[in-house]
Amino acid sequence: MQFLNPLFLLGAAAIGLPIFLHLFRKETTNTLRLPSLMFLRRLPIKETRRRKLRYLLLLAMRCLALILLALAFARPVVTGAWLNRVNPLSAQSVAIVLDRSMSVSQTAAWQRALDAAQAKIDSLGEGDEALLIQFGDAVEVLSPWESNPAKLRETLAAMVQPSFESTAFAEALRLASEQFEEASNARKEIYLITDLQRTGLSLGWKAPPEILVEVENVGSPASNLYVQQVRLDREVYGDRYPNPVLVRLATSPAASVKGEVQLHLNGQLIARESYDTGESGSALVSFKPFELEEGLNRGKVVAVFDDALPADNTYAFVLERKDPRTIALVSEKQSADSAFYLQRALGAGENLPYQAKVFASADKVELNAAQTPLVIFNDLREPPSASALQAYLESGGGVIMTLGKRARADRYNRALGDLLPVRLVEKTFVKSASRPFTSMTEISWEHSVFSVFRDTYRTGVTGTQFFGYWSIEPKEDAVVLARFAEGAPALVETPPESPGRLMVFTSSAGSTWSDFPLRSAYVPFWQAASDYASRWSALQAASRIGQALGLSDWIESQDGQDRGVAVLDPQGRRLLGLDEERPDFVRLSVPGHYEIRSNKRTDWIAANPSPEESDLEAVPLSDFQVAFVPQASRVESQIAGREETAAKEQQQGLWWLFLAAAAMLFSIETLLSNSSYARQAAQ
Amino acid sequence: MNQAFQNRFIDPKVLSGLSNLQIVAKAVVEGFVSGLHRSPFHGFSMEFREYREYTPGDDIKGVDWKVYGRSDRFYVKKFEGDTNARIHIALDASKSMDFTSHTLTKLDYARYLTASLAYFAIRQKDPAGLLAFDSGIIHHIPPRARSGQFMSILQQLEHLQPGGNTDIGKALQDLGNLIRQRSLVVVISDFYQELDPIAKALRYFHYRGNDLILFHILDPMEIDLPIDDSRTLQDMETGERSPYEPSSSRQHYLERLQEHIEALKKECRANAIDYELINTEEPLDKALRRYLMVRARNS
Repeated sequence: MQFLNPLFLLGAAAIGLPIFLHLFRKETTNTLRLPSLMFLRRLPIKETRRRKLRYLLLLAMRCLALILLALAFARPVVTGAWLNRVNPLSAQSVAIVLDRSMSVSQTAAWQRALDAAQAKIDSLGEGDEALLIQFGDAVEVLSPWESNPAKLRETLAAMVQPSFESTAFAEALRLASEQFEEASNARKEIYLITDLQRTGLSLGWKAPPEILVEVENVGSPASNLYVQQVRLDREVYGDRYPNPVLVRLATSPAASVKGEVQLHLNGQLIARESYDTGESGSALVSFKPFELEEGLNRGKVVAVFDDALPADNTYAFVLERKDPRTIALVSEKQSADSAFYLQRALGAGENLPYQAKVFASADKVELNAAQTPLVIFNDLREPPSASALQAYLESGGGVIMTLGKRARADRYNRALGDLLPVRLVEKTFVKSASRPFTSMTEISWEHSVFSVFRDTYRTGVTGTQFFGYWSIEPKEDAVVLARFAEGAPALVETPPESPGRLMVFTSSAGSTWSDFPLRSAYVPFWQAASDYASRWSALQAASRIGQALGLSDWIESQDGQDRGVAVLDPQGRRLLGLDEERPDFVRLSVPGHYEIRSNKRTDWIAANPSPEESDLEAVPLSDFQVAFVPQASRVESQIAGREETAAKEQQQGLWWLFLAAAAMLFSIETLLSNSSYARQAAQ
Repeated sequence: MNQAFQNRFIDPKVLSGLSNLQIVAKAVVEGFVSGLHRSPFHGFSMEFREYREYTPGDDIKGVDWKVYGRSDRFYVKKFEGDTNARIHIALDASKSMDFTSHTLTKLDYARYLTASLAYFAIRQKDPAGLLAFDSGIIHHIPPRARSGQFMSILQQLEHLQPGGNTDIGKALQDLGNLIRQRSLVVVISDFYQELDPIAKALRYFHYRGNDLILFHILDPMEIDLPIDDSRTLQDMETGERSPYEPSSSRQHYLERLQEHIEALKKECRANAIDYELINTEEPLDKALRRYLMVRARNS
């Protein structure tokens, strides 16, 4: 128990007055010497004892009333532990939710957070129970409900670990709230220990009103410089990294700092640049293209600066120098026009993952998915061999077919009827005098082929004029990705469960049936379609902490059984062994380079903290409460002075009880003493 | 009672301002005697002479010839020595006598009374003695009529200190053993003792032909016990404590005290003993009158 006005406790010394009077009257006033007591009746002992007891009772009531009065004026602040001893119903279940995100656990706030958790455990009283939860962007319940503080302390010491994760309050609070279904006590409290980082805030979920959410803010204002963004492509198809490496630095809060940024590759410092964040608090630094070794190259960007959070001053990445893959473009001489445009489109740009080779007939192409992941059949009169094509698709190959003036419906339907997602009907030409063309209108913008146009450049696709196309009947399970204005399918693919991807573009890739080759959307469209059909996806140069890294690409199946992989984190700790039966993914949790070893190859993955986590700006407690806490449940923060006082005011509700009890005692004492004296006077 | 008579009474409060017992005694007795000439007690004085008719066998030296000359009858003049009595004043000096609710303790009052009686007696040529007692005899001065006797008694009274517990029966028995001749015994005490031993001692004195006067000295508080709140009372002699509830204790006390007094009076009447209850706020005249009555009867 604490007191807001402890000086009033000195008033309790007033109990000395009735005690003094009691003793004084007893010893002096009440004793009278008489010559002889031989004529005096000896009062029964019971009567005198009763009278003494009554006096003692009155004395005790006076003293107790004075003490209660002093306590009331001292304004007691009652802690849960004290209440629990006097009232079993006040026992509480406390979910101690510890923020271990990078902004807390990699700064000086971490020790304060641990101390706060320890103090909370120490404050638990009789009947209280608690559990420990730690969270970053993932939430981990560390213990069941436990009423033994010693076990909670053990859990705190053994299982709570710092991390480089970002902050997500909502999920942590939601999971903590769910834990109360197993709680024993009626009073429920979430004790959140955090730095109230603004970037962890999200809307949409609020704690149930019966749960008290108490926030312990362990954060403190600090200046932080961090690598906000590095633009890098992991795969490099040449001996040099083709583009400048752009590094964006930022400060939180915005401040002008200067320093040096270093670019390391394979353990060697290869470049350095100076930076000045200026008034805006951010700076963009560019490193010139540099040479790469064959295979995997591990690198990092280091912003040299001493600040509160050094972990985010380094950005790790991995570059992989490799040869581009081959795309087979099968096009007859009569279709040289469209082949020209296609070949140019697939070769446009730098650092392309593939290169297109033109073949005059399908027979000359070796349909090997490993070497040639994609084949484009450009308006062939004779369709390719169905058996070879089926085998190619089943081995994971991708196929794109364009249909133009040379295609024959009967041959295609007969030869590839089982493989194609469509049945060709007839060629269709737009003949309207007022509008002699049609456009693609009904487009699945979310699809990988069109997603590149979704946000900024839809008209690049929808503005293309098509004069002719093949009317087709899509099969029942076919997926139509785009339609012309008349409703006829423009781009159709096989269902997702099919082995390999086969797409049919129902118009020509050349300029005869459309002006598509003249449009700016032409190149990105065919490159996106090629990427999709060939299932090409490049790893990123760096991943985020907290991401789950799927290991299926490294797991080799032999004799129907998967061979495992070994994963070592940046500190050299083995996360997965080769022969261990573990999930086929690992969660990236430490910044740096992860090593993945398999029978196929050894690979490297870079992981970096989320730049949002580097923004140390804290949200006011009131905003936090608006986001997560119902109006009725909002209580104090120990840092915010006003909130603290307000909360203490709420906790000192006992003062009026003391005052009422003192008044009641005084009343009873007055009644008792008056009746006693009145009885004596009457007798 | 007229104003002049009232003035003769000397208030004990005034006496308490006098430090010399001799002055006190003289003041009391002289004031008392001078008042007697105008009082119903006319005839009692130190100068009194008794005349009776001559009977054969009387010493002829006793015939008052002047009377014969005036009345032609023979009267014999009796002198003081013929009616002198031995006076034993037994003074209770127990601890219970050291009590007062005003300015004069019972022992002080008893001192004044003793001194006055002694002065009175010696002035009448009566041999007077003193016996101070508590549970036994503390001091004893045998009765004498010589001139230094009064000073000896005063000296003893001056140095008398309240002592132990009261045992009147034993003290009187001891005194009885000391008295060889028929005497007038004045007992001054608060009589805080059960009646039986007192009565036994009184009968002993009476059977031996002694005359007794009991002066029962009590403080006003002892008589009325005007205590109206709950207290603890302590016995001055035994130190015993007892709770006091005015509601139940006071009435019981007064009844028991009255019973004790009545029993004493009854015992005294049965044995022809004079008894006088004296309040220490009352003047000493009352006691002196009682003494003179007894003295006159003896004469």
